[in-house]
Amino acid sequence: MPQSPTSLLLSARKRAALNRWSMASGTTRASVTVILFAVAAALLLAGHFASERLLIPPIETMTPTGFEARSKQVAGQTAVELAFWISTFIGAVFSFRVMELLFRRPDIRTVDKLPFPMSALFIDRLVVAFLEALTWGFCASLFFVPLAWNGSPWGAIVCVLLLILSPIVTLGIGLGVQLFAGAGEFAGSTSPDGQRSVDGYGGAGQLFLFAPGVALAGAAIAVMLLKLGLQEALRLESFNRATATGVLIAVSLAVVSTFLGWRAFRQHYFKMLAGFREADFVGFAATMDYQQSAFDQPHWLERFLPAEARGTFRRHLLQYGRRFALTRYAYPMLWLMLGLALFNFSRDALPVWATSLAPMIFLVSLLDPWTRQNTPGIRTMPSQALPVTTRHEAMASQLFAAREVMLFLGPCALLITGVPLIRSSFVLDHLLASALLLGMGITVTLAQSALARATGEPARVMITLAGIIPTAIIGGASVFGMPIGLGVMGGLLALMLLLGFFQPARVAEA
Amino acid sequence: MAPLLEIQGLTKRYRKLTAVDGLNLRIEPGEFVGFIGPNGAGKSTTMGSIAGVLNPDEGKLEVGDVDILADPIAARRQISFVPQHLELYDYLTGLEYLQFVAGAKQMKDAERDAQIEDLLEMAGLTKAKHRLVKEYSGGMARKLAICAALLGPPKLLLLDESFVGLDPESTFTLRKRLVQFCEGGGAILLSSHILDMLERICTRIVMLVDGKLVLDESMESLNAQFAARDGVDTLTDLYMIKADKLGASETTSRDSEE
Repeated sequence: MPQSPTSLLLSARKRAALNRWSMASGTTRASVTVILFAVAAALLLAGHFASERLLIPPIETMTPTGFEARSKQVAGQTAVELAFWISTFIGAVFSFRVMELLFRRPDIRTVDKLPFPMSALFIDRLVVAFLEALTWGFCASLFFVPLAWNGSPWGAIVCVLLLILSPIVTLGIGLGVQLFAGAGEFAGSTSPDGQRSVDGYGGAGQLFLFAPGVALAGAAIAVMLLKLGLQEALRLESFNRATATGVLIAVSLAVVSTFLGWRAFRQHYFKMLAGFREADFVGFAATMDYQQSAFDQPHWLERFLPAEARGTFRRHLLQYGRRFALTRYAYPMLWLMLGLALFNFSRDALPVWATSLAPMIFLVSLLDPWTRQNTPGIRTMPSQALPVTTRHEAMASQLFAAREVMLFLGPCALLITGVPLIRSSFVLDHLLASALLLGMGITVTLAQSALARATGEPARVMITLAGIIPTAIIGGASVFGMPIGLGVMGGLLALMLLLGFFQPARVAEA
Repeated sequence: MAPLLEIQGLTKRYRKLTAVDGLNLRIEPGEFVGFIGPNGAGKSTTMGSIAGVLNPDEGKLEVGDVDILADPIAARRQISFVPQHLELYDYLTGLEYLQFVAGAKQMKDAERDAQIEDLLEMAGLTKAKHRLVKEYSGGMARKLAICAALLGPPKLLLLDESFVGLDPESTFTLRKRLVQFCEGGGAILLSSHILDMLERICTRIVMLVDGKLVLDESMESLNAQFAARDGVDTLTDLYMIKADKLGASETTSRDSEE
């Protein structure tokens, strides 16, 4: 008896995951387990230490004689506010992620040529996205669990519910918006003899590109309703009609959006998929018009490298610069945002900005130039085919990665340090903030450099680790104070330098 | 006889570049069609459009009596496509992957197992069937993809550069199997640059240059021409003439643009 298509798709996914786990080496499995537990423990620990501050009633409720009588209602309000902003941040990322999950994940291209019914494909996509949403929510909510044993069980319940439900609501709304936009874009007549009614590359096509933003706007409203409803549960310490109403409206919006999305999916999914495939696979000559060969132009940084490594450095410069032009812009933008946040740095406000910035640092680490540099599309191993030793290759790559990071972090740090100097206030704080920023950038780069090179590929575990390190540093700084944070960072930096120093040097045959 | 595949006026543009320009093509059951042309001629785009993984800008595509664009699921039941760049489940074993594809094609268990064993044997993958696809070499992965495509079996098989990287033994066995598939009433559209091989196994040759059809003749008729014409003794000779006559220099500039 053949399996149902839906069960076939889901069981193949499950089987692949189990195979991946069972056939991984013992070291990999142990490393992943340790990292997962370490992350969970770190989040719980950080949450535990932050609980006291998270449970302080907001300053608005203070009166000359103390807190308002109604202050009971706000005992976990600061935590809920923070959970809301984290939810919104996750929503922002997840809105884009839904697009990836629907159209661009490699597993879709494995099954899109097979005769699966639309319902099975839709459920498969929904399950994949739902599991990811749940994972995001679950991980983020761990930070708030310690509120339960620090005096505010309802604070913990409300924050956890908000963080788990928000990505799911974002998923539902995102799914509908993306599929609707996709249907609008690709549902043009192509058969029997009609010309496609819209241009898949521009014009109306841009609507599809902006869809994640529209989805985020919708999701933010729904999450706000969710928060308002759940806040009432915190205030009254029980689930009540207001809570039910807030949750019901948000969930209903997501369900209706998903249903509308299903209709668009059923009718036009393959056309949308084809549109994305085209955009992904066809190499447009978008940059070729103005690009000319520039390999014969030396870069000034090359003088710091031995002659044997200069070619590799120049290759990185041209290949990476052209291949990942967008990432190069996104990366400094994120650092700039971090820099701006640190610009207003003050030790008193440390917990607030620390917890707000942590996810952004994680994102920055995902966009790290070194990671990109090691992705299969761009990675070439000169030492395997050319008379370039691995040592020289590593030197060129390190300098290149450092250049990429410092190019944007340097001015950023100067800005943070320089402006307060003119104002002659908080100089030390800003110097520390600059040092922290620069240190984070270098640590992320070196960590990924050392670890990715050691394994031969930029494994996700490494990237995660690289994201966690600065996050932990900031968390540490917020909990234990700046000197300890800087100390931890210095230690990690030294460790990474040491790891980099002991890279196995392979000499390729000429 | 009703055609197995009918393409009318297929046009596909990538912005300013017209990759396929008003292509008309009919393939009958039992035909083994060699699809040739210079790089960038539009072969993969045509195959992608037939397989339903690319949206054509104009034209009508039918497999059997099914409109490929209007009813993609029904079309996928009749077509198997092995793309140039393979897209497999890396973390399934070879056997699991074939079982998965057979399940997607709603094959009954007994029939499925027999076919899978047979295909694995044919491809020389029996010993490797419990290894993860991720661990397969390029050639092994390609053979596995062809085995998966042959499951069912489909009515129309689209093979895009599927002989690249295969060892001589596999090429030989696979060629035999594909010929058998056509003798059984299936049809194949095989894109390849190995012209000597196409000359030996195909019943018809179709050639694209700059997205336009420049040659569509049966192998029988081509062989007669080779025998009669001086200086044109093989498909390679004919290919060089066709490609050059219709703008090989233009093709080169298109390639560099892409």
